[in-house]
Amino acid sequence: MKIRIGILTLIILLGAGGVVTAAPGKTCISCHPQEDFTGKIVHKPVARGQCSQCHNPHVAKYDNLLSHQGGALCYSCHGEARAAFSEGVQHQPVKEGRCLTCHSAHVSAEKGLLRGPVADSCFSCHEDLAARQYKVKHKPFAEGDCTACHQPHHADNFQLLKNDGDQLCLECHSRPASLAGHRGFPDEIGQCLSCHNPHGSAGKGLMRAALHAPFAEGCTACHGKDSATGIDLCLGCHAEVGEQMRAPHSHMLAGEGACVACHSPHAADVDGLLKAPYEQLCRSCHEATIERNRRSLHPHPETEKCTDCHAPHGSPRLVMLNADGNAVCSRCHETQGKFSHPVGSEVIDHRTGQAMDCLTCHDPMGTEYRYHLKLSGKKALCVQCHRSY
Amino acid sequence: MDTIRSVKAAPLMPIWLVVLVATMIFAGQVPAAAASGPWKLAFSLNHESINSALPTALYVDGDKERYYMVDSAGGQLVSFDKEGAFLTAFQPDEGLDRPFDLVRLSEAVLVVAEKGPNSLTVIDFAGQETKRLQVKDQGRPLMVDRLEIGNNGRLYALDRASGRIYRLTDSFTVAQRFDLPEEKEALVDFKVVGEQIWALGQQKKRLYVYHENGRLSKRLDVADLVVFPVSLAVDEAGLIYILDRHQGTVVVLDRKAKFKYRFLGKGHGPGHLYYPMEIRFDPWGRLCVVDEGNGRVQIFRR
Repeated sequence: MKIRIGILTLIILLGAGGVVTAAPGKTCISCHPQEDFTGKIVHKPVARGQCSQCHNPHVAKYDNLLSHQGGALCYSCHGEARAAFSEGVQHQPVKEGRCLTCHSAHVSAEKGLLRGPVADSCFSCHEDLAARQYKVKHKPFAEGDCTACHQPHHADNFQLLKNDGDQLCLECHSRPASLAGHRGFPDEIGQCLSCHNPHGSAGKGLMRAALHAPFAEGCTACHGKDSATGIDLCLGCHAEVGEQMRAPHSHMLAGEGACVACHSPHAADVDGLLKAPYEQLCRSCHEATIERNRRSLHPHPETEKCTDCHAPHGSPRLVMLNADGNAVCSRCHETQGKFSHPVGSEVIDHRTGQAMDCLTCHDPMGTEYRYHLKLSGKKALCVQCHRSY
Repeated sequence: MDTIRSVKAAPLMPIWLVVLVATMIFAGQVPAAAASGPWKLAFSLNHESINSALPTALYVDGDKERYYMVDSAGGQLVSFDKEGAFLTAFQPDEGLDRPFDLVRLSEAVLVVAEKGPNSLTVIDFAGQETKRLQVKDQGRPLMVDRLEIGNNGRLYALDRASGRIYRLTDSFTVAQRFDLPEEKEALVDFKVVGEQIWALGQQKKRLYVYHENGRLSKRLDVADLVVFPVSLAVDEAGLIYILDRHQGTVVVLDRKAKFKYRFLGKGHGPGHLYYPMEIRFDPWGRLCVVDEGNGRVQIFRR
């Protein structure tokens, strides 16, 4: 009887402690220590001792004797996730099939086999966010509850938000309470993220750091009775931008959303009152171009800002470069700027009859060839012009 | 004898395998070669005297049998004959500052959309006069981008700032304002096809069809087929051609916007496009592609 009670007590204690002892394949644990497979949450195949579900015991093409690599291995069981995750905006590790960036393959102390608490997982990549020491923090951010606002895999909204920005805010911050804090604001509360930083701020009310000068003085400079609307309102003060936009290639977008597609009219944390850092902002429209560079075999190294090479408002040049092709490249590639294959108006590309520049042979947005060449530099590119070789 | 016969016998594919392969092909299991369409490159509009050209538009004068290419970088208009022979590169005495599009309004009058001064620039060869006009809608200056001539010589303009199409009077005032097809859309090109106006929206990657009375009658989604659409054209059979600037391709759709085929590709050689800008048909049924990055216009015939 005492023995039975003892066993029962042991089971209860183990259950209360939430610790499950996994049962990996007996042969495997003769070499691989049992404790590596013991934890609060155990991946089902591990718990069942089905090591060969993922590993080949003899030989494999992939590291750790895995039968498949990355997401392909996970999706062989979690097939339904592959289809679901492919919709809308995808989290970068999901897009690249790097499930193990966030999840542990064997055991974990966290739900969903996360490698650590949610915030630790997120901040392991989003280091800049972790490093920011906000004086005032948004409660979910302070508590490390990133998934209060963001979806971890995919979402229908920019920045993997769970809902459209405004709707998401209003889920916690009731409309009447929000209106009370915005005296004189139109009935329809909106564009919350235009003024407030959802993570934290140095000031009260999570206000973003830099205020648009007219906004700092009040609302009427732009929202007066006779104020212009849309782009005309902005160009009324920023005439030089209007001049830049009078170019064959312009970022002028039509209608009310013209300038505010990229700029916040009220407050921002990024220079130029930009709504987001450059890559995020540009990616929101130019996803295909940025992805092409990233996925190419020889991508151009990341520049600090897209505007290092491109004119953001308008340009008379191809691909909205902020100077001619040679000048843009030789700002960084100084040697090639002084000594290179002949370029300039006297050197004509016979295929097009056009003057040659760096972009005749290179595509700085990434190619499959070294030095971002458009074709192989061993021969294929050169014989396009130098046929006798 | 039997041995010799068996050695010489050709290694014929078993009948069952032939039937299986044929069945799979017809059932669509084996991908057939991608259709390239009926288009062949006829010639290019290009010349050594314009070796830094960045063409942004082409106007085809059916009466005079001439092509006019707008060279935005050179600030000039370049003419070619119907067979592609270079005629001349010209500009008014006042010069052209970032010209973008062009139409011929009457026998001796050209109208240029000039980005620099944001004007409709009227070049009157008979009167030897050039006027820069600013078109306004309720006091707001239009930022004219694309120009088209419609039925009965009507002049249409696309305003980049509002994203709307306007019909203009002979004195370049607003005669008709077309409604935006939908919120947060930006029209980037349009063509007049009979009594219809076909417009291309870049933000939502959609085609919109207006009747010339301004009523929006059709909306076709092409988002899955193109990356960065910049121009469209419609042929006599009603097939729709969309130019994808970033891909360097032309996507051809049937009247219901169902994909038919895609042709051309990114590059610099003949039949390749590098950041092309505009597509249109000439009166002789040829497809003209303004190939900005290669400084030429390529003309394709069936």
